[in-house]
Amino acid sequence: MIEIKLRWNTGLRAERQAFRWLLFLAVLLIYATNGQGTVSLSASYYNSDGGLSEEVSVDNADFQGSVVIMPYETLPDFPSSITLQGAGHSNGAYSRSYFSHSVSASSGGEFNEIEADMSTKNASFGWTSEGKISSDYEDGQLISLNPKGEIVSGVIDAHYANSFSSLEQDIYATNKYYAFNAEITSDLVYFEVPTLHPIGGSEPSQLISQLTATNHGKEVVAFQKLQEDPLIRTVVPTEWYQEVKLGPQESQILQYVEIRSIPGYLTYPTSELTESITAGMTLEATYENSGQPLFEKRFIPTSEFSNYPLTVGVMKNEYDDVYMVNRLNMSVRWGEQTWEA
Amino acid sequence: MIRKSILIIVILQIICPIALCGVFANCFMGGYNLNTNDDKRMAINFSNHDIIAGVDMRANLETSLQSRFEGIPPVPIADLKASQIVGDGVYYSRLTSEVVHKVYTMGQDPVVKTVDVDTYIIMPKKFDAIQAMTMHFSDEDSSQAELTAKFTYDNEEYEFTVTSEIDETNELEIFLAPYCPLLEGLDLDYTDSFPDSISRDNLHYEGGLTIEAIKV
Repeated sequence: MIEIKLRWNTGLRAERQAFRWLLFLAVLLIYATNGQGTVSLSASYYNSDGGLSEEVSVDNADFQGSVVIMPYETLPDFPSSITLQGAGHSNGAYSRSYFSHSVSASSGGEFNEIEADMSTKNASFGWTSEGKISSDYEDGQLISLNPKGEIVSGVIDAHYANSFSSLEQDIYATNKYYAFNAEITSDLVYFEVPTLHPIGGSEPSQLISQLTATNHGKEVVAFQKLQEDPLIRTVVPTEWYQEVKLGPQESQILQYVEIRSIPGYLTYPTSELTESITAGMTLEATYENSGQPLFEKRFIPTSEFSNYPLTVGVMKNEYDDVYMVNRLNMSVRWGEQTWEA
Repeated sequence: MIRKSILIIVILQIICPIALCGVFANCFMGGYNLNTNDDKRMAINFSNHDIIAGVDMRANLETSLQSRFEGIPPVPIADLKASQIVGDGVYYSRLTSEVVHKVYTMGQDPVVKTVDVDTYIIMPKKFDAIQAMTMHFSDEDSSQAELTAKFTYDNEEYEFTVTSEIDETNELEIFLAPYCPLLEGLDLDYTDSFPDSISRDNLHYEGGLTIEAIKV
């Protein structure tokens, strides 16, 4: 159900009251909620300074938004001539949920558009949206989407984009807590996994991630996986980190997995898959238009180590003041400048 | 009157090869031997357990046992050897063994001697090594046991040996791990890395694996 309401702003100062006949203040309250099926909203807001548009679609998720439109940017209490904001979240983590949200802005001859969509199974998400038409910003506009999600055992497929960059995110998790947040503006697509910790229990855990970033004429695919046996997880904890920044001049992907034993235990490379931890990364880079690769697919560990992926076992050491760290890391940068190898 | 002794020499050689493609081996092997003469029996049994883990490694475990009655009057003698040889590509090598030697003399309580052996080498870089134990059991001269661990790491060879007379219950151990007391002062490098980087058309990639042992 989509509900649109109008309300007047009654907080005007005395000196402005004389001009109230000349002011037209419109406030639209937009509320979208879903019980069954998909609900969509499409709306545009404009004045003499510019315009904002958004399209929202949800399935098994709630969204609520509001917009304040002024005829022009004049009042200190309303620094933006158009202000748009909203927030949404999935309903229930143990089902399928979906949202898509695009926001576009035009002002002073500039047009920008951003979008985010996410489809989940057995995961939860939330997001906020913001849009402003104001001379306080470069190009007279600000638009942003901030999605976030978390998962323990499930699937997340997401897409984030602005006018020159896009990021696809595909996550599969089993018994592994995974949380992320993203920010999309007209200048930046940013993604980060700051938190990752094990879930206790007697079942193995697995986490598989693929990030596909496209901009500056190239498509970069970064893959990362981690499998843990519960029998050694308590003495060999792991860390996982991912960060993506897609900007107008330079873009970057960073990710690492660290397998670290606690003091008194030592890890060793092995092929034995029981009571072990396995991790690996790959990277592919191709030209966006032709699909031609820039170079051969990269693997971590490399062929110099001999095995892909890395599997480690653990043993109890006689000396309890030493531990072992196995770290797989990857960074890739690309854009308008050249870096030395 | 000269008693005729029953002289039994049993040479048991078991070679346990590990396939070149294997990267983890967990092998149990053992044996039991019994010698008898007119008024004595000697029994010796042993079990060896070896663990080898790494990448593209080569390994061999050899065991030999000779047991016999020798001399006049006959004296029970047993010599047991076990050695594990591991080639390049190993990150962890362990050999353990339990040996029980019993001599039964008619009208007397049996004399039992046990020897437990445990030696391991674990490093953040590949190494090759020989871990070997020898035991000599005899009623006449003292029974002796020796354990040796020799490994090559960063093109340098290191060797450690412990010996002991064999009493009723014995343990021989050599544990070689990063920052352990036996390796103190040797200034070994406990970090190994496998980096990779490439640049093409304004795209630069760096990645790799690092394995490091750290002391608290």
